[in-house]
Amino acid sequence: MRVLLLLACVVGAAALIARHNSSEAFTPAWVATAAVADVAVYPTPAAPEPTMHLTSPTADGDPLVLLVAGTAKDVEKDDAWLPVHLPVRPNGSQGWVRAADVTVSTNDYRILIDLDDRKLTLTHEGEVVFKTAIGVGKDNTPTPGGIYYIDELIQPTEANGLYGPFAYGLSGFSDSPAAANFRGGDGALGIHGTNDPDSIGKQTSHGCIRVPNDVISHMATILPLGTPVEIV
Amino acid sequence: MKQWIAAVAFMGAMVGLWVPATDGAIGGLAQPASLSATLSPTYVQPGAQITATSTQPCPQPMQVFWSLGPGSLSGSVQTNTEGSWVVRITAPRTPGAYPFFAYCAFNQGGNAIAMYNQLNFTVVAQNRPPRFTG
Repeated sequence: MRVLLLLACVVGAAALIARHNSSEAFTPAWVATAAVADVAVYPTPAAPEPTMHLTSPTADGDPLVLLVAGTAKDVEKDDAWLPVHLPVRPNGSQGWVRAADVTVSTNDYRILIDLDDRKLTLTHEGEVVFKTAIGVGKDNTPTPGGIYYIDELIQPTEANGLYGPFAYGLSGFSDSPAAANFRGGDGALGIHGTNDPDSIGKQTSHGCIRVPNDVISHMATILPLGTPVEIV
Repeated sequence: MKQWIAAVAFMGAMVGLWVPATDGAIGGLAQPASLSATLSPTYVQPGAQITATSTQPCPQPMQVFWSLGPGSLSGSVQTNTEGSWVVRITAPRTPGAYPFFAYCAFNQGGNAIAMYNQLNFTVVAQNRPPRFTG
């Protein structure tokens, strides 16, 4: 009897430890959606003047979405200000916004893009959902590494066109002059499908991430805006 | 004494196994019935109408509480006499994928009598061509 009790204790304790560890390993991302038409961005919470203003809706007509740069603990530490990643040049720009100007939600998804392996990995709560081969930027129009987030989702009217059935916009930009005005745009990076399946797994893009059309279609059914994208 | 400590530890361990992980479901107790519903359309532009319809009705006439996730759009609707229901939602303005959750209950905050399987829909911008770096 005593052995059985001790065995149950060991099993139960192991379950508790495993649960504790798994909840500690994963931290959701925090996403801020503009609640006002003009979001002032400050270099620090103590700064007297903002360095820029971001409008919502954006120039493309979408609500402004920002990825919170801190963890949940940072957010809880100061409920008046939020550190955020900014969808502006140069890549990696950050600033502070008033918490009152945004609504905050959590996001359990992450996208990791490995340029060397030419692979995209999607995780949910730290668990791999899928891994897929991708096309990445050419040598003269490389995909820049960094921490970004998806801030747009477009369904092109031409499903068999360059971007495939869906295209996500990223908060980052190509640093290459050759891609700065691609298709009349501002050099914004994207994750999208393709009309050239043979380009998957190769360095063939102007900086965007190309994924198979069935994969981008699947992503469009599950990913909210604000999903963090790490390119390494 | 050792037996008493072991017994207490056993109870604590069982609680550890029994405590729900994250989803609020209570292990060891009867689970609410799982039902199915449909959403249409599943790809919409911002502000478009989406209709959720029960495929399997609630067990009896009651309320259906629905939500697009924590802190997001939510509401309730009275079922028909046979338990079926229809919910019409205006798609959010922010593009992206949204979950739709619904459950049957007699009143707000009351126990869920039945839970509907999660559904998803996607809000997409179609009013402009992508201009990303290809």
